[in-house]
Amino acid sequence: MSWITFGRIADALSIVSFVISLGIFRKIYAKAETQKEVYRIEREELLSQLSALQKNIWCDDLVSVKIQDQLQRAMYEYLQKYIFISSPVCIFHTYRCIHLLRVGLNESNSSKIRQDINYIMARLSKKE
Amino acid sequence: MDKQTSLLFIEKAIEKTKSNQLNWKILEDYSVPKSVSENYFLNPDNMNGYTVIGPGCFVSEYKSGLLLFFTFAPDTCMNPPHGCGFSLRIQDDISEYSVEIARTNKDTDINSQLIRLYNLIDDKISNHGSQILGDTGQTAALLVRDFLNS
Repeated sequence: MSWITFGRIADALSIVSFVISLGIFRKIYAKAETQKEVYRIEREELLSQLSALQKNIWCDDLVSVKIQDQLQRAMYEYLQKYIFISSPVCIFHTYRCIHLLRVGLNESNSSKIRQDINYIMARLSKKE
Repeated sequence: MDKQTSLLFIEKAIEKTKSNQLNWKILEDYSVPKSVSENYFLNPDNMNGYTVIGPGCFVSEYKSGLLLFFTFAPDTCMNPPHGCGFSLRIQDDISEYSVEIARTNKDTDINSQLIRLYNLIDDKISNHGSQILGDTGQTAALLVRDFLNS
């Protein structure tokens, strides 16, 4: 195969991959817009939930399995609904909180979980 | 009722619940006085078609009246407090209708305090149920274990 033919094939493939990447970016953009809309409608509900759970755990000393499940669920919900409009730091805090809750809330991970919740609550306080 | 008063009331309810000054029971299991029974449901129009979730509604006696906590959801299969609305009301023994102190609305502070109160009440009632289970005789405890494992 001559180099000219090889070059033409490479050109054709790069045009095809450019078109495909345009399609992918378009889909991601559409998803992000949908998530922004959902965020605008539902952020306050999730914020209220996290605020209540934070007070239940650290002010009311409520650390039952049910409460921890609610907290983990809220974090999963945040991840599922807003991953495309979240910064890497947000995603890190969410994943870390979910990971720490897998072993349960205890003295060693309590402050980290609290930091994660505070960060996500601060993020949810921001209107899109 | 203005927001600050509502928040103060809910805060007091939370403190009293934590210190066991309020003894909450599930509304379905409580013998509500006849004068109250017809009047404590909210007008459905106020909650946009939400329905009352029986096991999620609570009552506590306070002096000569009742403190009522209602849970509403768009679907009876909802798992409170997720996706649910709440209403805290007080009923005296003279008035025909209860007075609403606070309910779920666009205010994040009130919503979070109502959810907090719901979780506290739910925990108190669950623990009380566990204690009753612990106090039953040996035969009953075996029966319960057997039933759960069947």
